Amino acid sequence: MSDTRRPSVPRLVLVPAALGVALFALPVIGLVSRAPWSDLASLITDPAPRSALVLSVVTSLVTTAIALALGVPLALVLARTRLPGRGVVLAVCTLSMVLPPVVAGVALLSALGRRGVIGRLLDEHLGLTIPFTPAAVVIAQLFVAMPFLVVTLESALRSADRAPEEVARTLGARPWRVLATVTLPSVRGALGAGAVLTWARAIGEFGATITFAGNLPGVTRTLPSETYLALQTDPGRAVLLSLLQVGVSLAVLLALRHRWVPALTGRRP
Amino acid sequence: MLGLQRPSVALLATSAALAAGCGSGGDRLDVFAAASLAAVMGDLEPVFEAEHPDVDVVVNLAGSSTLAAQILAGAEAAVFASADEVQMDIVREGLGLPSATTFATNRLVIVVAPGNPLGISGLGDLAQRDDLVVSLAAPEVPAGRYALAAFDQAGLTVGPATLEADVRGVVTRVALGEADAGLAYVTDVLGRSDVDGVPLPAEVDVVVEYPVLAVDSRLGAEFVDLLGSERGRSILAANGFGLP
Repeated sequence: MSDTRRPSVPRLVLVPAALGVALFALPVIGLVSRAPWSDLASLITDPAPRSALVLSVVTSLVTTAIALALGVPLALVLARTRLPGRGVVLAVCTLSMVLPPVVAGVALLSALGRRGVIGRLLDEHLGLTIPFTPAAVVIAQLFVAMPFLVVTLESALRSADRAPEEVARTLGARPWRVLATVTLPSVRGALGAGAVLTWARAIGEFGATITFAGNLPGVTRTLPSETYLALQTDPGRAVLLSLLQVGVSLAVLLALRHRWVPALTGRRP
Repeated sequence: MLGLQRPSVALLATSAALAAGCGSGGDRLDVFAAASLAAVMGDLEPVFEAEHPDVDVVVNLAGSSTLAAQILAGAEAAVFASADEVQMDIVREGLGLPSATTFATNRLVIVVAPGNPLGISGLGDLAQRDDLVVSLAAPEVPAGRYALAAFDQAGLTVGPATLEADVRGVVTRVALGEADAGLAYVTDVLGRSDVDGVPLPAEVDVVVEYPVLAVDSRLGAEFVDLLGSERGRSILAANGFGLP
């Protein structure tokens, strides 16, 4: 391990690095300086942002749970089996990371909307419509955010040392036991980082959500949607709502930084 | 990897095109217009540019409230055409400008699927029928305020499934079949084959007035004059707008 207290990079590297920090820090400083703090009290007592916050927190946690239930097996299959067409499968599963979120919303509508390929069958046979429900919010978040878990975990699994698994197997451990006691513990850092990234992306999701799930207070209006609408009438309120989201996300990233997310902070466990 | 060079080529091409667009030497006239004026502005732009060969008209279409926020934040608008007097007043007071003139009017219509297969006949259906998925504009934007006013006048309350950020979103929901009905402007459904309009009953009298103001420059004032001219009025009428 090198000594991190002494700079071991050329001095000139500091200039673009500082510009990079400024790119991320300046918008937050802008929000803080533009915020009408005197309106904070009325924002806190107003039930509308509170219901949006509750909806955002609940849906993003449900999304993270489902992403773990589906994404961990998916990453295992991608990393540990000789799946034919593995590259294509991985590309399909991570496509939404590079799609504009609105496009993701349109894609979801064409699959699960009332006139969509599958949505039409659900509507005709089960009387089930997905758009305009909290379930649609979760599906939009999953579609956009789950790849962060899959990609993080898959690459960790591929680079992990396989020897302990082999040892466990030769000692007679069954596949489930190897998975639970050797494989997953060896990638717990990536698992934590992937889960946090997925949650953070989910709670910030806007484009796919408003396109696919719509926008109704208490049902599908998440904090980003509430912020967007506030911008139409009351920009100061939009700034405060934005700061609320910055605060929530920052608090979680800082709280988890030492334990779960070495991959995010660069510290090795 | 593979695509690393292509985006940079595209970026170069884009910046070259932008540079060419900026470097033509003529004046530029930025018209900030309410989203519902898209077709009108599309028709007016070539007319104005034919009268002023050196001028490039750039139309910025968005919800009136978004436009107002952009103008107050310092966007260089020469003309502001709003679907809403509230937003126009915000801009006027913010910039200390004289009163605006009303150049067009619009009305609300119930947007339904082509041929109205669900037999929707009035606002009462939207408010009372449980089988209908209703999409309205959010009350934060003009179309949403007008929609609420219409239900108020009819003495009804409505439970929409979704509130769109602008009036075009309402029409799109119905056109895609995700919603069965919505309230939009008459001009939004005119000439479209993927939606139909059901007129509101006569006792609902919500008239939408479009004020326009030259925010800046002599050219802006000339554009406003064009809107009020014989030519401008015929373009407005052809696109379904009422004339004051």
